[in-house]
Order: sequence, then C-alpha cells, then structure tokens
Amino acid sequence: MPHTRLTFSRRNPFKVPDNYFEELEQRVMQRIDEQERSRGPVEMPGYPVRRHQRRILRYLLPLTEMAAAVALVSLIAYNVIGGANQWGDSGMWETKLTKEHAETPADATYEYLMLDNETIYDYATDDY
Amino acid sequence: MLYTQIRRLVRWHEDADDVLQNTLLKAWNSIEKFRGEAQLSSWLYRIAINESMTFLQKKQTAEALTVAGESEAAALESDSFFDGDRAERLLQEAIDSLPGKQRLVFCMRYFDEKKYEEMSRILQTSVGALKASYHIAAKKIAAYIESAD
Repeated sequence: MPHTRLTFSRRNPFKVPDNYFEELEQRVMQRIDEQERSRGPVEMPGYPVRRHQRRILRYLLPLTEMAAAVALVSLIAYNVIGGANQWGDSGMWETKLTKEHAETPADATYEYLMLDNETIYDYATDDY
Repeated sequence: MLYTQIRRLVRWHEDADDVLQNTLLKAWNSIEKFRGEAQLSSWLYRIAINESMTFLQKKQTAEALTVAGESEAAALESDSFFDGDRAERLLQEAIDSLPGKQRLVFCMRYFDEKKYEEMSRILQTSVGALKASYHIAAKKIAAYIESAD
C-alpha cells in the first residue's frame, strides 16, 4: 500500500513494562528520600504560610515529610497514569483540590490526607 | 499523558523513564512555586517539556560524536514497547529524524494540540518562529514518508 494512503492517527502507540507506574512511584520516592537525606533538615525559605501554620509546620514537617512526598507523588502519579489510557482526562480532582481549597502546598497535603485542623493541632501539641 | 508526551519526544522507554523521573523530582523540589494559578497538569507539562528539551540537547551533542540515525530508525521495529502500525511507525521515525526543537514544536502542536500562544509561553519563542518551525517540520515529515514509499 502506498504511504500516501496510510491513515495517520494521534493514537498512543507506546507501551510500558508491567507495573511500571506502580514502581515509578517507589523509585521517585526513593530519589526524594536520598535527596532529602543529603540535604539535611528541611528548609523553606520564603515559604508563605500563615504564622500559626509556621508553628504547626515546625512540629509537623518532620512527620509529614514522608506523607507529603506520598501526597505529591500520588497527585502527580494520578496525573501521569490518568493520561496513560487508564483513568482518562476527566475529573481533574487534584487540580481542583489545589486550586479551590489549598492556599499552600502544605494545605494541599492536608486536604489530600484529609487532616482537619484538630488533627493537625493534635499532632502539633503531642510529644512527637 | 505526561509519559506519552515525553515518550514521543525521546522515543525510547528507558529515556522517557529517566526524563519522567527528573520531571517529578523537579516538581517536588519546586512545589512551593506552584500557586494554583495554572492547572497542575499544565505546570507539570511545562516542566516535562523543559526536561525533554534538555535531554534532547544533550543527546544530540552526544550523537554528533557517534554514529546514529538509520540504525536507530530500524530498531523501532524491534522495540517491544512500541505497538504502532506501519503508519504510526513511519510517522514516529519521521519525527525522530527532526532536530530537537522542531520535534518538540511538532509534537506539542500535532499531538498535544497546543495553541501557538501557549507554546510561545512555554518555549520562550515567538509565535511567528513557532509557526515557521512547525511548517518546516511538517514538510520534512511529509518528505520522509514519501521517500519511504
């Protein structure tokens, strides 16, 4: 058949190894962990959080560092996998969540983890 | 979506995996810069495009010192992670034959259906230059496919 009669589509002709996206999350998490370890304590220069949140974060960040990483990677992984013909493009809940409710990345994490203020205060005032 | 967009640009799964991981890591490192004005997907897309461009530039520099080209094109047939038909294989080979920037412009416009104005913001290139680049890329692709006939 001549190439001039070929039909060119925008279909995705690429495949990935089995469990690629599941393992991707682990591998990215591992790289984040390694990076955070080599950097030492978490620093947040110019981080625009409300004053009371700063105090909470001082207690909470060491605890949620891992959780925040999970949340981010999950949000991102959802976006990546969502486009890989598994969940489709609709229902960008993570975008709406960040846009409508979250004032800071930490807020997005709290929202994602479904931590309400009371829970956060409990963490902050507990002896962690 | 993001994986496929990267994969179209860098072709091989292993390379797409590297670029995707770098994209996610960069997103993580600059998450405080994301304020929610743009969609999370647009923000990630922008990072992915920049990472892909960096990768392509490095690769082209390395390839200038080695022999590449036809052997790579033939290898697409034996790529177990490519599931395209004849037309899709030819199109991908034609895209791979383009210089990095033209490849990027073509894929953003043709597959991702980005508007020139948005592409202009992402690539920091004028709309006129992008239109010219897309036009040249499309002509090269048509020529490649015709010559393969």
